[in-house]
Amino acid sequence: MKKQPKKKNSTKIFFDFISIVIALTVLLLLMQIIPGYNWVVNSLILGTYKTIAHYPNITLEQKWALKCGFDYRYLNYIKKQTPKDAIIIMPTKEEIFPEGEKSDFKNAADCIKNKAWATYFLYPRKLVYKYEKGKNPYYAKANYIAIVNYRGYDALDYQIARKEKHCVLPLHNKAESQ
Amino acid sequence: MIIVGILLVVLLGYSIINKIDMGKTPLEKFGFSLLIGMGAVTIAMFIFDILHIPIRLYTLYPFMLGGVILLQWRTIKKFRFAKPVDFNLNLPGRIGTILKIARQHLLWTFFILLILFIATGSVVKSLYWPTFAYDNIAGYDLMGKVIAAEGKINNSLFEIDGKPIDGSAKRLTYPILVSGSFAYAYLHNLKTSKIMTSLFFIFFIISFYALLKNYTERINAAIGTFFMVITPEFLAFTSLSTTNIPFAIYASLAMITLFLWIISGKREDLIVAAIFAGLTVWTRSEGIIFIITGVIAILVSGGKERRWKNLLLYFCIGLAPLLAWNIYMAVSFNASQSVFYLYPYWDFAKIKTMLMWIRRLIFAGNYFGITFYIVFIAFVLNIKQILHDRTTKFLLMTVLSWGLFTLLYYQIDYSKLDPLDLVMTTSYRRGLFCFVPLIWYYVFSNHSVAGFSRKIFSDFL
Repeated sequence: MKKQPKKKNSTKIFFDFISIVIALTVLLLLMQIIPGYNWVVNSLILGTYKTIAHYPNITLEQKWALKCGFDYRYLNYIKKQTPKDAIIIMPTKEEIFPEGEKSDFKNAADCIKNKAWATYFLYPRKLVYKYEKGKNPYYAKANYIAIVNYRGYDALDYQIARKEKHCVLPLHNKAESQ
Repeated sequence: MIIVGILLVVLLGYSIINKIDMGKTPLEKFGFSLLIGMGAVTIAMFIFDILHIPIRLYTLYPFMLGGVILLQWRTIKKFRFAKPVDFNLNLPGRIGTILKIARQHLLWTFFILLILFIATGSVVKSLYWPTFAYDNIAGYDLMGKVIAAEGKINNSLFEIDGKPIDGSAKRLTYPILVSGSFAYAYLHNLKTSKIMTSLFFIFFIISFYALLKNYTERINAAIGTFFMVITPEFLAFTSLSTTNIPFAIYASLAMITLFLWIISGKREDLIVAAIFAGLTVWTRSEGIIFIITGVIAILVSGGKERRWKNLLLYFCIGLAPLLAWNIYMAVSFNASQSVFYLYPYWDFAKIKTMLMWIRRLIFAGNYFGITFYIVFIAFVLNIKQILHDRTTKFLLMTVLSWGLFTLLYYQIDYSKLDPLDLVMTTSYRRGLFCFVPLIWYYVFSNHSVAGFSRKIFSDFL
């Protein structure tokens, strides 16, 4: 009589073991048959740990640069070069992607030509686009211009000695206006 | 500081659910706590905005604390300092009980560990990367950031005549559950709002497991939760901060809790279901389809005596946030362009294209794994019991809401939006997330599967 619970216990352990082996086999089979599950384990989960191990100490800015590319780096540069209350004239699509030239910027929805997307990185600065001229009251109050692909210098009321390909500049020369 | 903020949200949500339904299990209450608490906080933000009270921590915290005190007043009144309070939570004892269950149910332990592994991976990914998905940057996260910076919903993003800034499409005018929760993170000076997405996901896993466990065996709950969590596309989006996962979370909880009310007939269960339905439309307006499903379910199974009262209760709580938001939008914003045909019409070519995409999407293992295959298998296995099994009602609710969801996409005038093919492969695909938890809930709670596992696990394991 006393030995029976032991027997029951060993049977239970046996079935527990068998059930886990079956579960594991089913899961491994699913990973083989359905690529989505394989992707979850190897790319989504383990891939994340590998990425973290590869970039253990990168800053938030560097992470954004990795994900959003040159467009983010340019916006981050503008952020560092302008005060928080700046109103910035942003380039047109034609200036960002000049015909016959290779652009550094991404031709996708998530790029500097999208006002909402660019505002996310530059807020609280205000952005105005050239197509908004006459419609957006902030346009007349703009005090900076974003220059891309050497385009936009003509809007300045002062001369620049050395022209950069991409930069951001005050629209008016402070020394002259003083 | 964010720890205090999260604790307050959890406490507020727990107090609300505790006040409504004392009978819920601690696990259910805990799972629901953050989800309901965050809903309450964002509704408070909305009311503050209407009353021109700035949305700041110094206005939100007193509201939340006040809410907790009010809801827990009975408990507070009973509290006596003179009487020694037993703070002994008996933690070693509780841990011992969990370990005992783990030893007794090794397969359950195995699946719980797998869930932890998968969920941890998603949370780690979510917290490591900042927000980068286009919809969030040009939409919900931008809105959250500006709400936190300016302390109001009608903020500088609606810069000219109440129009949302270019490029944001209609995302800035979504009800504010998601963007408000992001604002809550930014109010605590966090650099990104990704913690909110992870919290939604974690508390949903707990809720889903608790709801499934209350209806079926512990082991079924663990396996069902595991397969729900591991659904590839669903899991991929849990580490992005789009509105789709919170929407799926609230919508599926609204449907499951409504089904539980159909079984129990308890008024408290109906209120919980109505709250989740309300929070579904507080996340995305298209959640209206789940309210319509709920209304039909109540009309069909609501009992003769109180049917109309129940319907009114569900309708009022469920629809109030959507009505309030639409009135607010009409008054505050200039973004009322409708993309829907508001009349019935017949377009066979469109139906054919949509059905082609639906078939491709649901049977693509890369997106939904075995989810849409298994529901057919479960249905066939259960076919003998189909008329007597209570979960058939749940399956019908799922099918009805899916049908309404598809109808909603059929009614879209695609000349005013993106092309049909693009919308089906993006928005519709992500909208299918709502049905992933519903399917897995049905699969593991239906008579045949639940009965089979009960037999196996009680006889052998």
